[in-house]
Amino acid sequence: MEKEQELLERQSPEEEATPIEEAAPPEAAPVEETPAQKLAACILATTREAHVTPLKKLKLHLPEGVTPEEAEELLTKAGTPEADPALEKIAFIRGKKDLYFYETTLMTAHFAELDSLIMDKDILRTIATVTRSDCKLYPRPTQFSKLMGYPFYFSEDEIEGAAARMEKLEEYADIGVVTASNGGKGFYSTQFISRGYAQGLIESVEVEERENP
Amino acid sequence: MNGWTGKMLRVNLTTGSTSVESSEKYFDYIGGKGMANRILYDEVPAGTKPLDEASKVIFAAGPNCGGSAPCSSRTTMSFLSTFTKYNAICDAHMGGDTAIMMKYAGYDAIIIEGKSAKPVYIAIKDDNVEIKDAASLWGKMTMDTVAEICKVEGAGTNVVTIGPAGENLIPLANVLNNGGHSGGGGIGAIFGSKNLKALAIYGTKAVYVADSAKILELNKYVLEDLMGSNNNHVVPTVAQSWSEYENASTRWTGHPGLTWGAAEGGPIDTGESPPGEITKFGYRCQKAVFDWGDIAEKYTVKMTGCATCPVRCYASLRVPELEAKTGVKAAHANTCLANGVYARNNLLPTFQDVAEPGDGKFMAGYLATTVADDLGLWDNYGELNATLNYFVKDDCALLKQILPPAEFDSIPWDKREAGDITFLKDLLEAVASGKGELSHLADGAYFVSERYKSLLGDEFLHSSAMGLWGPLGGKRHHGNECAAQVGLLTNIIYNRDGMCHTIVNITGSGLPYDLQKSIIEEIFGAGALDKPKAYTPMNESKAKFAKFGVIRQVIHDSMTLCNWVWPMTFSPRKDRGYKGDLSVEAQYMAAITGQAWTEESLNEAAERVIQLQRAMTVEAVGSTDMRNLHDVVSNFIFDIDPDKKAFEEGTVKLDRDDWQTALTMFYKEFGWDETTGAPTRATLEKFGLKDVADALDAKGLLPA
Repeated sequence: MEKEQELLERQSPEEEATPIEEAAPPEAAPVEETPAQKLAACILATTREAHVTPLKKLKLHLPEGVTPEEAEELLTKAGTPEADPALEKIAFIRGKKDLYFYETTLMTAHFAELDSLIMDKDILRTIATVTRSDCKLYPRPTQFSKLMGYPFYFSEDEIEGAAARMEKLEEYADIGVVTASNGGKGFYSTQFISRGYAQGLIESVEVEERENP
Repeated sequence: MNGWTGKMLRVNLTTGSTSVESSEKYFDYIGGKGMANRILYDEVPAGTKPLDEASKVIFAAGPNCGGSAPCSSRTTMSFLSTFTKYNAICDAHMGGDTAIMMKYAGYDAIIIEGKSAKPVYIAIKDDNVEIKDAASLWGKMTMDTVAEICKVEGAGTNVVTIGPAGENLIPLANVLNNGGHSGGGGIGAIFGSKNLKALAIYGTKAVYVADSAKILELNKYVLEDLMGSNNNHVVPTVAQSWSEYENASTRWTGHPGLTWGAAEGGPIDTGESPPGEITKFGYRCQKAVFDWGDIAEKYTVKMTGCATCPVRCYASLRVPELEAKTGVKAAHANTCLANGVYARNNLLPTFQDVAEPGDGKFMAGYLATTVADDLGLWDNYGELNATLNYFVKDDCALLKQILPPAEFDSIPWDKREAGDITFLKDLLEAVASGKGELSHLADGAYFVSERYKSLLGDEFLHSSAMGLWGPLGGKRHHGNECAAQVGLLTNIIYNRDGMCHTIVNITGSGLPYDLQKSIIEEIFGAGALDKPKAYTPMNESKAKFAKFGVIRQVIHDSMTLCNWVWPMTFSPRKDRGYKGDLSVEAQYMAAITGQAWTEESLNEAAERVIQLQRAMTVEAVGSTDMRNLHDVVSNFIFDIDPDKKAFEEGTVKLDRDDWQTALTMFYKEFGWDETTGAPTRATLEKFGLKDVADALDAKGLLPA
């Protein structure tokens, strides 16, 4: 009972009521955002949607009061000691066709690289980059099914076509394809794993893991 | 009392009596598995057979259950294996609400003993315990039984029941609670032998804890900093904007564009679920797609799971087209391997479509799994399917030799020929019926081999088609394909499949190998963790790692934490260097009980449990020679990939001599005799098991 009474007393309207006028902070004069702050806000918004921001696209849809020249000058300093403080958390990937910006507390460099590869629309380079990374890091082949899903969404025909084209290009001479007993396929890179090892690993991820979940 | 209730319930089905006793004398065994194992040792004489009246089933939970820690409501059931050689001690672990209801009703354990003269079920509502007539339930499927009992006992009651398979004493029979969680090991047959249809529990009491603030702090810490997804996979399946890594093999399947397609009110996108954002935790594991493939997305209503679990690792699906076409009310929501296993291999070579072109295999798997669950028929991690396939291969060559012609002809082979998926329903119902020779294919692989020895020779038990860890009959479950010798060593500890997820949660975490290696070697020493399919010979670090795997599993099964998620070896957080925290279990124990538990004291208590289990197994084997009579592994483990040598890249093949070295090192870690693998007197006494040592000594079962 004592505790209940104490609670009621704590919640008594007399004690809790505070005149709204008194609590409201004084109205502050609106502060004009700097161009760097506006650009950072744009990039942050796109990062929240899980995408990098291509510079060319940004320059076509600039925030009010920011010129294309200003944008380019400010953004290309991102990640350097001369960067505007408002762009401290902005980084970029130098893609083949553009610069791609992202906010670093929300997006990793890894994802930014993948998204910039996708935006560059160079499927061969995308597959080779992802494959080399997968074979070096994990190690594992890059399953076709991975490339057919988020965030790549390549079709099977596109992937098969890319595999055929890569076979003929020197810069992709290290990239090969292995097939599991269920027909599932994956790319591998001889820079990091042998064909025999890749063959064993594709069987693991396509077949054996499913048999031993 | 904090954590433990301090009480256990005894129900004697022979006399119809019930009693409540103190559980305090078992606290040295933590609870759950440890408590249940010791009770079984104390009360069921060695040599008892699982279906004897003297056989018992013990349900137990640990002090942590009911205390709100994430994933703390799994039930351990201990009993004698019905399906493996020696019928030795065996545990089954079941999710759902059974454990927490048992604790809320006021019991750390429930001991079921004796045998009823007629079908009954046990109804528990806190202190009120009744043995009720179950004549009207006998013969019913598991789903209907749950519904019928809940009508009588009230909604919210947790009902653990057998189906026809258990009633018919099929050795591979299980129990299911509330239709979605099962416990195997043959416990269903033991229920059936006791004329016990079900156990219904409803509890309203509290589980008291010593330091509730600390527990809430730990819960927050675990959820925000340590826990990933199902199996504590800490890397998402596909790249997400916050992730440094992605790995298609993990169970963190949720991502933008992947939905719960049949959710009430329309599809729900699982989206991004970064570490630290605990309100999105439940979207991390889209288990339907993991289990069944992309086709399952549109049928997914939601993810569900056990009490106190944020992971939600089993999927609730609605497949109305299947019900309309086959009459089978497709309500399967069980976890793990049941997912489509009967549609694999060759039981049904072709599949008729159901709702759309190409969906027949999914529908067949889903139908068969639903039927198996409803029958209370356990798959033993795929063993039953493997056995059935073994006998139907080559135009049913073996099946024709074991079945009388009339029985063979009674099987609707025309349906199989046509790809009619209801063939699987007919087949499983026949297996669960207990009638005819076909039912014996669910005796468990060891007993199948014994029954048809002249036909099968040694090949059956040692074949890769069966995939057993050893001829004892346990299915390989995260064995040599998981961290080489380490995984396989965790298998040979048990008298069934390993069920140890400590190691596979590490290798399957999704993190790159070098990162895994650096964290694991820091704990266990150089060489503890091999690259996948690039194994190295045995070493002491691997032996320590394997022991850790077993001990953690025992901790989880005893204090009650889900070993399908725990331990927190890794973290999904980059700012932690992806390192987890292995001290959390002990912190929970201390906060819950108010006692000074440490990682060391918890490990010691868990090791006491394993020492006891090993001693019980020695008694069941009737020899100290565990190396040659129990810990024998199947030939396929050494003979697969004939074109490759052991330790060559691309194979999980092991080497026979190296395996013997692995056993020796493992025995040494546990303080067992390094020649035989049996516990020594000194080791047993070190863990307070002098009485066990004396009993073994009296039977000549201590190593020289």
